[in-house]
Amino acid sequence: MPAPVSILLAAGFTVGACVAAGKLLLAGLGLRLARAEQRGLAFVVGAACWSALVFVLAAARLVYRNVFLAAGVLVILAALKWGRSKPLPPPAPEAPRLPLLWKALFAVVFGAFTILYFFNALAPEVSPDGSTYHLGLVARYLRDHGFARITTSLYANLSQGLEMLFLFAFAFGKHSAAALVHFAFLVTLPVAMLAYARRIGFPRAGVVGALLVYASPLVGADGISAYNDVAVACVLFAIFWLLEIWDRERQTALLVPVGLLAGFGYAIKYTAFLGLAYALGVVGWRLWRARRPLARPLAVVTACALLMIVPWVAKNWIWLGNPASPFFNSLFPNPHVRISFEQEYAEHMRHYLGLSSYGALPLEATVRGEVLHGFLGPVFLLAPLGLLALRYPEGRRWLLAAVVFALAYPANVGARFLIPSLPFVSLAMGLALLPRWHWVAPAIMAAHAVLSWPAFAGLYCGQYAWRLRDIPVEAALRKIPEERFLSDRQPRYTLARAIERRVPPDGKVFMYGQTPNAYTSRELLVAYESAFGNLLSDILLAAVTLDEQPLWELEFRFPAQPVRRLRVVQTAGAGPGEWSVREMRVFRGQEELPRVPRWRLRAHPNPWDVQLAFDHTLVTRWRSWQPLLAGMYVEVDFGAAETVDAVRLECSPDQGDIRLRLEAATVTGQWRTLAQAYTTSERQRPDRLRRAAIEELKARGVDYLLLYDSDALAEQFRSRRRSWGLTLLEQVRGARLYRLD
Amino acid sequence: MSNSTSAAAAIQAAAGFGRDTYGTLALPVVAHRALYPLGLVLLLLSSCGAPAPEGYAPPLQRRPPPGPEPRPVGSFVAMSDADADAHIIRDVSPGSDGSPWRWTFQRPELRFWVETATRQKLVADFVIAAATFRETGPVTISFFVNGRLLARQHCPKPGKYHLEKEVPAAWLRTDTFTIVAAEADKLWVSPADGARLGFILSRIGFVS
Repeated sequence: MPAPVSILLAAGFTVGACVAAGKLLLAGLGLRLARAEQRGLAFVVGAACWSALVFVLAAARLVYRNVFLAAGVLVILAALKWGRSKPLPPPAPEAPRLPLLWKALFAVVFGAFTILYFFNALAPEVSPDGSTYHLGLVARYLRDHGFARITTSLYANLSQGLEMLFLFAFAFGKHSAAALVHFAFLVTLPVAMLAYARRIGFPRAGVVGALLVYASPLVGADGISAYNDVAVACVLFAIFWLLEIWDRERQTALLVPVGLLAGFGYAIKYTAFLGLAYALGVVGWRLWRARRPLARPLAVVTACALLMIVPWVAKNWIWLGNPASPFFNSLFPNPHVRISFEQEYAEHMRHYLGLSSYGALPLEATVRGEVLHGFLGPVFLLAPLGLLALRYPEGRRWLLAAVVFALAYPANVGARFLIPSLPFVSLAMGLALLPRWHWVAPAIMAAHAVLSWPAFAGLYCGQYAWRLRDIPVEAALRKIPEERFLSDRQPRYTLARAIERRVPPDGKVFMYGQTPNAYTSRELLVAYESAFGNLLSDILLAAVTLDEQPLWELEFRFPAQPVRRLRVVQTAGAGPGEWSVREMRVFRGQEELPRVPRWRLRAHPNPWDVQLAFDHTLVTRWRSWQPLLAGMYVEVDFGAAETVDAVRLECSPDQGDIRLRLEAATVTGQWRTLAQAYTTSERQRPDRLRRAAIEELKARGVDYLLLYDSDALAEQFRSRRRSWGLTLLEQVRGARLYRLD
Repeated sequence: MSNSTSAAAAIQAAAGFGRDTYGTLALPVVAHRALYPLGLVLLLLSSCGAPAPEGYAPPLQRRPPPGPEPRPVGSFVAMSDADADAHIIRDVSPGSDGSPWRWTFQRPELRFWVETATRQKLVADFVIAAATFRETGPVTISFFVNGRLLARQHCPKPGKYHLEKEVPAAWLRTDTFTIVAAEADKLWVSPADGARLGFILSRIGFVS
């Protein structure tokens, strides 16, 4: 079967299964909906159900094509049977019709952008995140036939509700089929917006709003890729839409899909938990205003939402010890994501590199698009006009939803995080313009469409802004080989293929920057993505920094005496910087006490890494991995009384402003201060630290190293390859793949 | 009753729908009742995280890697060597995979590590390209070792050249890099992009 056909069948099968599941649920609940509402909502609600089903199959390690095929066929047959035998109750009265001119306007713009988006979605997947972790994880689940405990990538800890649908499509049609599933949400969103607006009697505002969203360059680039932001926007809009219908008709069964979608929002992306907050707020507020009991409706929404949320929470809690991983690591300390990393990551997300000030946000997010990774289109500079919609009750509700769904934006100022609010802002802009300046709205829409079209967007946006650049018909139809298209459009694709060629199937490759792991089956360990990656990076860095900086020796001396436990306590108050110990040695006279198996080592915080301070190599260390706090300690329990008279810590100079105290416990377990003062001296590093670092990586199962020329340590490895003990396997597009000898 | 209708009824019944009563709890009561379980949940959450054992035994004690620190670079390099880049400091074109030659620019510099300073000869194999020679005419290339002029090689025609010249022991050190530089008296300047090319380098370094 030609590749495009199988891709389309795979995506169509996935969307069909979602629609079927949705139809069954909506019918089961006996909801009365207009035809357009049935269509739009059936897909989104069904997507939630289907995602949950795929989660169950993945958890049961039943991810096989045949299982998926059987499940999909069954649900579609069930929906067909139900549809024939029991038609829906008569739909609610249809909304007012659109004037012909407006219909034509919608059809032209919607049609043109649908062609643009369709071929881009069908072409090989080249998006930065889609070709790395979104589909990289999906490919891994397919290889493993379900979830595996992954502790080496924070992206595996994020909720992946949409990835479950990608997984279903990927099993039959690979990368492009997954992207087409997201494309289905992209197409559904404007159709849903228009259907909603027609129902409430504002069809022209619906056209304006729908097209402003649909033609937005960022929405298009995101929606045709294996990302999730447009799906989030679609789900949040569906929640809003269902709540509007519920508010008008009080069909209480509507609260079931509301709750499911609110949970599905979280399952797609953590930040979409705001959908649940919004749903509970609206239901609670409306019922309270109406003096109606509210406990049970709120409980229904919550329970349905939890059905979708709990699986993801439980997965993380059981496997990683943190239900909200990779966040809230202070609340749920664990060895997989570092607190200091989370703090740095959060800081980076709040202030993107290159963003001069928050005052630059509007222009970056709408016009330039380089710093915030995409742009919404210059017309959205007029978004404040939407405030004029406040004079309408509908406008007030839209703007409220826009504000609520943007509440998480300060935590990540990337332009993508504005997409969930965009439908509501767009509708408000449409409503604000239409009554008085109804002739302006089509002009603005036309301008937006032209300015968003790839050929014109390139004239004003930043050179490296994320956007669509053309209609890749030949690539989509595979008239251009996938390999060639991918090599041209995704610079790091060739690296992924080089890894696939050069690294054996069980090989692990350590690297500092992301590589499209959706195109290799080898395990890629990225330095920043996990505590394990942080550790590998720290080990390599140690060999370099210890070469350039002295090694500190901090020594406590005290009268010889028998002790059972020794503890070095950090006493300085909260402050920046960390505390770390490369080696902790205990002495009796001139002799170091040999480390014997009965010893027990402890540390606080980060107890999991304490052995690194007792392994007799300077390239590893115990680190607090969080800013200084009084009470941090490293402890050794000898298991029996030992006579000792000195403790020495070997440390790097890159410490926070630490103050240390030595404490001891006798066999009775009573703690007392043994020494408050210590001497600090410097000594030369031993030889062969680079080689020692490489051996530490090998001891942890890592045998390959990929370095981009832009990596900070690239020159170190290039110029000192012999000292490290590396063999250069391949040099491709500004990167080098080494084998650790 | 059909299956679908009964399924609908079951869902509705589970959700408490199908009748007009919603329940009896008012907001303040709900809030009050929810407070204790919420507090309990928060307490549980705050005490949880990944478990750590009571203590860890000392790990396997590492041994330093055997042998002396390898030199970062050798005393001689061919441009086709895998670690050719490690020898290059500046003004030598990046090599494509395994290519035996590279263009030099204004003042190419390479670094070497010699194990002994005595009886070392600087050896270089290079080519004057016919295409550049047409513009530059005869060229003279000066070779420097640690900043001192060692030799001048006159190249009256295009083609291959071989330089071999003994280096005074006092010019060399065995505890750090030895830097070799070369300078052509005339460079070819590209009319298209202004790139300045010297000669084509194949091999260079010290032999004893």
